[in-house]
Formats: sequence, structure tokens, C-alpha cells
Amino acid sequence: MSAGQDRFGMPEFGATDLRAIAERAIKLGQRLAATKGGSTIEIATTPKDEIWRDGKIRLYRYRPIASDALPLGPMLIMHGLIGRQSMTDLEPGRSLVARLLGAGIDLYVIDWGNPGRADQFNDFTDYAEFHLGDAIAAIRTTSGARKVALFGICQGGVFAACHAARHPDTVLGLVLTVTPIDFHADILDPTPDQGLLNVWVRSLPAQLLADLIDECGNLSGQLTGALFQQLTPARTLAKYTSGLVDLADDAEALETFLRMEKWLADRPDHPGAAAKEWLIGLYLENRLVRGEFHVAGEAVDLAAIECPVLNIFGAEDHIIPPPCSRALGGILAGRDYQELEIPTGHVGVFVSRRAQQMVAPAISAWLGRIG
Amino acid sequence: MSDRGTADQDLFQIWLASSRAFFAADPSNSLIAESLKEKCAALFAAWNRFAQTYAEASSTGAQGGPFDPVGWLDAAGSSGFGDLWRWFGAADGTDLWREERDALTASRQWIAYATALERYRTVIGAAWLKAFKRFTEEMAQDYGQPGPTSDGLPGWEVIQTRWQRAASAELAMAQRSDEFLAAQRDLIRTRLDCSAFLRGRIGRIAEMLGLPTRAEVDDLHQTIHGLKRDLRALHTRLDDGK
Repeated sequence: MSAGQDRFGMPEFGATDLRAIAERAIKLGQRLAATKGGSTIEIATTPKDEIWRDGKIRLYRYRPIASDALPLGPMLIMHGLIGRQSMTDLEPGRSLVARLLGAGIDLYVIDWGNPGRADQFNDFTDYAEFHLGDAIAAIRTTSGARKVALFGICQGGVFAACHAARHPDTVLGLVLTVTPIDFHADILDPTPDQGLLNVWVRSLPAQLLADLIDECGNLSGQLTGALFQQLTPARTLAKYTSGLVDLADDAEALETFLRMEKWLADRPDHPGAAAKEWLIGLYLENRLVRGEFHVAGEAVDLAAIECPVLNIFGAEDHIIPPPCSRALGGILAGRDYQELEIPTGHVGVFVSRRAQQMVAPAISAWLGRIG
Repeated sequence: MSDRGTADQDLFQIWLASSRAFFAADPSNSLIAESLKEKCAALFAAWNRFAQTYAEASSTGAQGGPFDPVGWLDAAGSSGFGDLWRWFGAADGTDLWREERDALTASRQWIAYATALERYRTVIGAAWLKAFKRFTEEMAQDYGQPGPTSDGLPGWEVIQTRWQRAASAELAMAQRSDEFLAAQRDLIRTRLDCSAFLRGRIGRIAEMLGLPTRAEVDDLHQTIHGLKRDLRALHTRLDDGK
């Protein structure tokens, strides 16, 4: 046995590193214990007031932040039914909401609540037509504005696009973020680490998807959470092992991590009827881009969108591949249509430090131009 | 017995002859016991022959026969147990042994799910193994030169980054493969079969106890949803009228 080798003749591999890891793991345990099971972790703390509600659905208006910026808006943020809108207001240093308020935007957010079995028959017509229409009406009354800008996130972007196509008279402009339009665009432009969700859904027969949703009446939030983790198993594994240990020395980064976890864990069930339209009508049959997707009994024609559109997508988005979002550009060719590529993944568009410097300024400049 | 007919024909003849003998006999006749004993022996021999003939007919060598466990679960198979499952799975013509049949079906569905889960795990396991092989080869290539010093070894961050990259690449490919997609589809299908069947049984029990079933509650939700839509349409018409 020579120097630098163990008794088996193997190099003494990273003994110092292992000691450091052990020390970090102990420190991490102490820091996690201090959060009392995450109960001290808070997200979405920017002050807001409820201005309208219908059952479980609530509409809030953010309190304005004093700034020198000219007043802009109003603008309504809407997340989809998968996940929650609180991600746009993760923490003070990473709050898209705070930045938009700082830019002088009169900002509103819709919270779809926690759908239960009683909501299983809610479909796209309920959300994209009725509830969104009611929320816009409430904002118009509150703000006195004739039109409202819509800021749709992922599936919320599809709601917003459908509404804008059907009601051009009430929509000032459309900000779409990580929003799929052509659900099969990944086939022509495949990237191995993007679009796995599209591939998986397309590999299942429509009846099996319907049975999966019918099993509980709604598409279980627990199931969608597990599914998203499964899209990147190596990353997920690293996140909860080595990645977590690495955060032990950085209290601020650990808090951000825990806030993200809190947001990820808060995954509501997706109403069954809307989930069937989402998975079968859109992911499997790609009806929206073909003009065969129905809302309120009529086919949605995306070419009927008259307002300016700002389409924001993540270059590394593994959930919504960029070609699926960018397809809208082809439909609205020649119109007031802008694209903004953010060099991050799906959630990074809203929470990464780099995106924080890009998204809010782009939206406020765009809104200033169209308003 | 005679070799003129098939085993089941033999069985029938034995049953007929013994039944006639039983009813024709004088109860006081001491020969009855002896006669019954003979008939029972014949019946046993006929049953043996029937079982052997059936086994031979349904068996195609070592695999797929009635004693091959693979065939026990396969209702579409050609084994004797396949026939058994076909009988159990036949349309309900009677409530005879319904609970027993349901219990067997539930067991069979659970075993099918467990089999699908194992198949899925095997596919995923192979992908992780492949990832580890790739990682090992890459590390060996970059750091496995003779006479390494501690200075030349990679740090923890490098190791985990390299591992994550190798694993992500392999898993991204594996999770798009036809083999994975088929395993995932089977897993979902078999799990749904299990839960749907269980829900049906629970529904029957709920009905028996006078409790509302899920179908009834769902009907109610659907009715309320429809009424809300009607109410909204009514409001819209009223507003338009104003």
C-alpha cells in the first residue's frame, strides 16, 4: 500500500470531500429543523385585496407600490389549473409581481382555488369563457378601464388566448408565458430532453387517458406532481440529495429552495372535464392549432386575436418545448406579435435571477407601448 | 373403461349407470354396498382418465400446460387455467359464487398490476444501470490514468455534475423508447383495472347498505353544474334584454 492508496490499492478518494459533505449534512439538518417542518416558510407575501369571488375562485388586486413610473394596465395574471399563481411572487428578491408593480402596472391575479370532486365537470368553457370573462368585468368595473391586458402562464396562457380570440373588444393585449399552442410542434423539432410529456401523452390511447381522469373524477395533483418529477429523474434525485447538501452553507439559497418546494407541493387537483380537453383534445389531438378546439360551443380561431401579443418562452423549457409556444407566431404573422426568449427552463422564466432582469422590464415596456 | 368414447363421455356413462343402479337396487340387498364400491372405483378411474386426457389436450409440452404458472394468469392462453379464467370471466348469467368470482378476479388483476410494475421497474432499472456504466466509463477515461495523485482527482461538485449529466442523457433516451412507453401504458392500464374493479365492488356494498354510491354523487354534481350553466344563460338573456 503506497501513499494516496487505500488497503485495496485504490486511490484514497475524496476523504476531505466526504468530511466536508458530512459537516454540511449536519448543518443542513439544523437549518431544516429551524423551519419547523416548513411552517415558517412563506410565499406570495406581496399585499393584495380580494375584489371578486365566485365559489372557490377569487380575484385579487395588488396594492400599488409607490414609484415614479407612469401608471400602466390594468393587467390580469392567470396561472393554469396545474400548479398555482403564487410562483410569480415567490419571495421579495424574486417576485415578478413586485417588479411589475414597481413598473407602475395596475396588477390583478386570479386564484382558481382548490377544485374538488364537485368541480369535476368544469371544462375550458367554464374557465376560459365564463370565469375569465367575469374577472375581466370585475377589473373593468374596479379600474374604470375599457380593456384589460391578460398575462397567461402555461395553461393559463391557453385560457387567455382563447378568450382574446373570442372577445377582442375587452382584451388590451396578451402576454403569454411558456404557453403551448401547437402541442405537436415537438415532433418536427425534437430535442431529447424536451417534450417528454408530449411523447408520453401521445403514447396513450384517448380512452386510457379518460379512464385515468375518471378514476378520481379529477386529474390528481399528486399524480401530476409525480409526473413532473419523473420527467427529469436524475435532476430530481440530485436536487434532494447532493443539491440539498450543497445549500447547507447558504441560508438564503436554502430558503429560496424551501419556498420553491412549498410552491411545488401546493398542487391542486385539475377538474376532470377540463383535464380531458387538455390531455385528449390538445396534447393528443392538437385541436387548438387546427381550429377545432371548442369553447362555449364554438371552434376557437386563434387568427381572430386582434390585440398585440408578447410571447415569452424558456429556451430550456423541458415541459413546454419552445417550438410549441412559438407556433403562435405563424398564426399571427404580420400582426403586432413579439417574442422573448429567456435562457432558462419552465419555472425559471418566473423565478431565476436572470429572468427577473428580463421579463418584467420587457412586459412594462410592451405595455407602455400598447397602452 | 371402454376406449370407444372421449373421457367426458366415459364420465357421463359411469354417472348414468351408477345412478340407475342406485335407484334400482333393493335397500335390503346386501349386495348394494358392494355394487356402490365398484361403481365408485369405476368413477374414480374415469375421472383419472378424464384428467389425464384433458391435461394432454391442453398441454403443449413443458410450457403453456396447466401446471405452467405463466398460464394461470392468462385468460387468453391455451392452458387449462386459461379455460378456467374464461369461465370466471364469462358474462354474468347467474349470481352464483359472485363474491368468490370477484375475489378471484381482484386477485388476478392485482397480480397483473404487480407484474406490470415489475416490468416497468426493470426497464427503468436497466436505464439507470446504463447511465451508471456510461458515467463510470467517462470518469475512467478522464481520471483513470495510471498513478493518480489526490490533486488529479475530481472534486465532489465535478462528480455530481458529471453523474447528473450522464444519467439525464441516458434516462431521456430510455423514457422515449417504445419499450418504456409500452411498460408505462401497461402499468397505467393494470392499475386502473384494479381500482375500477374495486370501486365497483365498493359500490355494490354501498348500495346494499343504503349508502350513496359514487355514481349517484357524480350525477348530482353534474346536475348542479348543468343548473349553474342554465342560470348563467338566463342571467345573460336578462342582461341582453335590458
